[in-house]
Amino acid sequence: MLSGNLVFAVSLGYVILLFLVAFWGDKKARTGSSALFQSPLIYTLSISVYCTSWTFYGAVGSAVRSGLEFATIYIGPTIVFIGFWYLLRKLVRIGRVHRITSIADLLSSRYGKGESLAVLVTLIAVIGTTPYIALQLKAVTNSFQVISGTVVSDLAHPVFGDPDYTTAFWIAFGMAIFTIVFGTRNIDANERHHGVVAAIALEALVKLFALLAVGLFVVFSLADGPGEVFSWAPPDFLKTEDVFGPRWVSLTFLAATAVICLPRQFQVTVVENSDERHLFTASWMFPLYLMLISLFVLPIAIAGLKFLPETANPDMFVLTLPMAMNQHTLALIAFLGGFSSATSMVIVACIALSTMVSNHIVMPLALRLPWIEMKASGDIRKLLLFSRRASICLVLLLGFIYFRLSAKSDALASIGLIAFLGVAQFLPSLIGGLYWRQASAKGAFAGLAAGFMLWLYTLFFPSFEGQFVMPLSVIENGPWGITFLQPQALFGLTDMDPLVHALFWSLSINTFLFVIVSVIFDPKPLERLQGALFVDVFRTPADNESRFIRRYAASSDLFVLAQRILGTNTAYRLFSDFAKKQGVSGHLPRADDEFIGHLERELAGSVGAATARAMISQVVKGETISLDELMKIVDETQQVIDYSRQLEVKSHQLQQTARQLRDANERLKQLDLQKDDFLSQVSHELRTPMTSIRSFAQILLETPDMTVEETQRFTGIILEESMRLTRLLDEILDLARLEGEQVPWVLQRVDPEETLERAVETCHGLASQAATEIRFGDRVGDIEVKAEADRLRQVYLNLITNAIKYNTSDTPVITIRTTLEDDRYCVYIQDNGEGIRADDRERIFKKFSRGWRESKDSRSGTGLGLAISWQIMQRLQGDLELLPQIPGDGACFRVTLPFDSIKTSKAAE
Amino acid sequence: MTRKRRAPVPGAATATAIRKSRDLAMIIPVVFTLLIMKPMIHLFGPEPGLAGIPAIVVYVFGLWTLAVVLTAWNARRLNTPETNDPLVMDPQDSPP
Repeated sequence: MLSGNLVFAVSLGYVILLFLVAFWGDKKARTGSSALFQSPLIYTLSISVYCTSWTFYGAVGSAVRSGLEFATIYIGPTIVFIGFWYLLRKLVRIGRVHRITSIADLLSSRYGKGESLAVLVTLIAVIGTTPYIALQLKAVTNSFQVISGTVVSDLAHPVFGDPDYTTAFWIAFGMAIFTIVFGTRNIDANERHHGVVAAIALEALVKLFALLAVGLFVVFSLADGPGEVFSWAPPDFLKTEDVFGPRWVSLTFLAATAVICLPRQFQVTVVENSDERHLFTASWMFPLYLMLISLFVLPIAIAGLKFLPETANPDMFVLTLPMAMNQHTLALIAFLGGFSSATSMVIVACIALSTMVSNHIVMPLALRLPWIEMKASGDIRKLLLFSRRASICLVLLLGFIYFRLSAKSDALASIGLIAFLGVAQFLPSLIGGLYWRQASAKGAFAGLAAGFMLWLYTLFFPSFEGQFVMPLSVIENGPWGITFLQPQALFGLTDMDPLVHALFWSLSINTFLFVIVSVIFDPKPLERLQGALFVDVFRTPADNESRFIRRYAASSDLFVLAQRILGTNTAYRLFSDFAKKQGVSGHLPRADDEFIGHLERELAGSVGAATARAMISQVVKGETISLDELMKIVDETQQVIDYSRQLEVKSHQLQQTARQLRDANERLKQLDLQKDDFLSQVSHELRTPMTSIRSFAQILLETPDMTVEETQRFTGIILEESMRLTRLLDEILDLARLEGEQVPWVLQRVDPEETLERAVETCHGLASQAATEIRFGDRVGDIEVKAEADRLRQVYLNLITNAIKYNTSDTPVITIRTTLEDDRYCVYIQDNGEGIRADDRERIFKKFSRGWRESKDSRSGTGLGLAISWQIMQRLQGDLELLPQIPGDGACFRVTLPFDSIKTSKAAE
Repeated sequence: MTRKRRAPVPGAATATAIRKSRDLAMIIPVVFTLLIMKPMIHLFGPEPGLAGIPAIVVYVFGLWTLAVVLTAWNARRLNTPETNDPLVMDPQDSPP
């Protein structure tokens, strides 16, 4: 035997460790380094609150009594998790999108956000869970008494005498403190309880480790491998002949249901989920956990039967077997495992139930009470926190009282399955709500209420064996002796296992009423809307809600409401974030349908959908649900149309992208070609002067007896050609700079007329050499444009020199006139030469393309001038064009620039 | 293995693979449930199966392990960004 003090010290140390882990978890989460707590492993471990002390100790007991039957409790959840893709994934998605806080909230939100359904669900959950909590208290107290040897001295006692209520009370008290400290940090149920989750995960490891340790001890220390253990088994230990009957199917089904519907499972699987993808890991890791937990149940049961006295309680084999073998450390580990499984269940169940009680019972009541008319910021938040904490105490107190009243009877032993069937009543409404649009609130309520009543009548009350509400005579003979209404043989259905009997009646009538009433009474518009949003959660985002509900409110009213629930800081952040999203300055966003919908969802994350809706309704005006829009989304044909439209849009986008790619590719090819052209042209253009320079230099070198005149002429040519070469290179560089520059030019106010005159003056020398007359036509007068004077002058010069150089007329004349046309300043430069041939017109602005066949000047140009001028005009946001040829006239170029403002026109003066 | 095969339309191979994984996500739990229920499970009894362990125990735990392994393998294939794309998703993506 271990001394009571040692056990107490170890458990106290363990509890302190749990507190530290929870503190650490919360602190890590607050400082933002919560990656560990948001890992799929922690998520999976937290789901294992499914394994309570009832399964930790009870599985072995169940194996002793009915062989393999214990496995059903783990096989059911295994089926649900390996089939996660079709149910759990949808549940988790809905939970996240609609900010669901509990299973009561889920059902209420799905069925039109009504309060009565939530109250009923909460009631069932509390009634089903309270005895379950009592069972945990009993298990911990018993195990404490067993291991510290205060009750039994010879392990043979099947009953432990008086349970130690003081211990039980302090255990309950400790759990209340823990849950209040770490479970009610914030009111937003969607905010994860990192501290709690961390502690739960640790406890999950401890209980798995404890069971594996005891199992390994049995198999490899007591026996020589699994073969020997099974050879000890009494004949027909596994009861394979009758264990796979209806009870096997029913229990598997119940366990599968429980892992979805139990409030604490819903809490850890859906509400505490921080990332949908964690489900992908949990889908196999949780079944693996369950498999490992049940792996050694049979060996422990067999060894217990062999080594312990016949009267020993099989429900305590996990603990008493190591004790009987004098393995005190192992016994202590087993005790801690049982302690872990009990406490983790109680903590999570309390959090889940307190959320439900405070959101669906306390809050609706409080909001109706006239004297709770506080308007201060955060008042509702305070009320909520208080009611959560009070609810936790209340739930634990109820559990304790229940334990105190029924501790001596065996009524508690079967409460696990009874609770499973209680919460299984949620299943028809839940599944119907997720997959059936027609499912209505009335149907759900009728089914749930009937199922609940039948559960009470056929299973819950009879389980007290006449000590509570239902006297023994009623159980045995039916009320008033009417055997037809006998609770465990209802409507004459005798010879059935009581659990299977209750399961059959409660769930089938529940489902029947749910379906029939749903079919008869059409759902209300809001139910229809929520139904569509839930059933098609993967296709319709929650924001869609705002498409259907039209309502109006003042932003400031909404803000007052939000800060009452969320507190000023959170509300301020929420509002200003949304305002920023809307692009509204200030911190109050426009109160449009989208924002009201968003706010309602945020509030629902704290107070539940029903209360959030009720509170929003107090503030908003003129709520209407657009039926046409609604019918559209409810209508499945429309869905398919929507879907194919989406497809169409996507394929259209793809086509566009492909076209853009093709275009880009085409452009790249052309650019590549142009580059090649340009290179060959450049080398050609460079070659011509180079050749003449080389040949004249060669002549000079090879003819020593050359006359001075000839030498001078040849060197002149060489000089000229090399100058031309330099000019060519300069221009190529200039062009390259123009084309390559990414930064736009800084344009300044320039008088283009003055620039033009200066350009003409510069050309005077050349003009008089070529006997060309430069005439001015109409002029604009005083004007300013945005440009760069030097570059503009370069363009003018190029055009005028071209007009001079390539004018083949006998009396060459250049006419320059300027006009204003549609906000543009235009300069026309016209010569009277023979013009540019039609087939050259296209390419004169390209590099190295001279438009003129003949030139008066022996020094022909580089062929880059017009290309450069064109580039410059583009950079100046203007244009340079060659106007259509008029027969008899020469070439006419037009330079255009956008103009800014006209100063007083000179012409007008 | 689907990688090696020729895929005439880009993305078609992934879509097929995802659809297959999704079907498998349905098949695994259904088959597991059928195998763990009566007619099948009755084929095995308390007679020693493997290393002295009764055949029924070997069967139940073997089946369980197999389900875990298959689900783990399939979950990894399902856990891709495409699976959450509604356009890859079947329009009738809900169980009967």
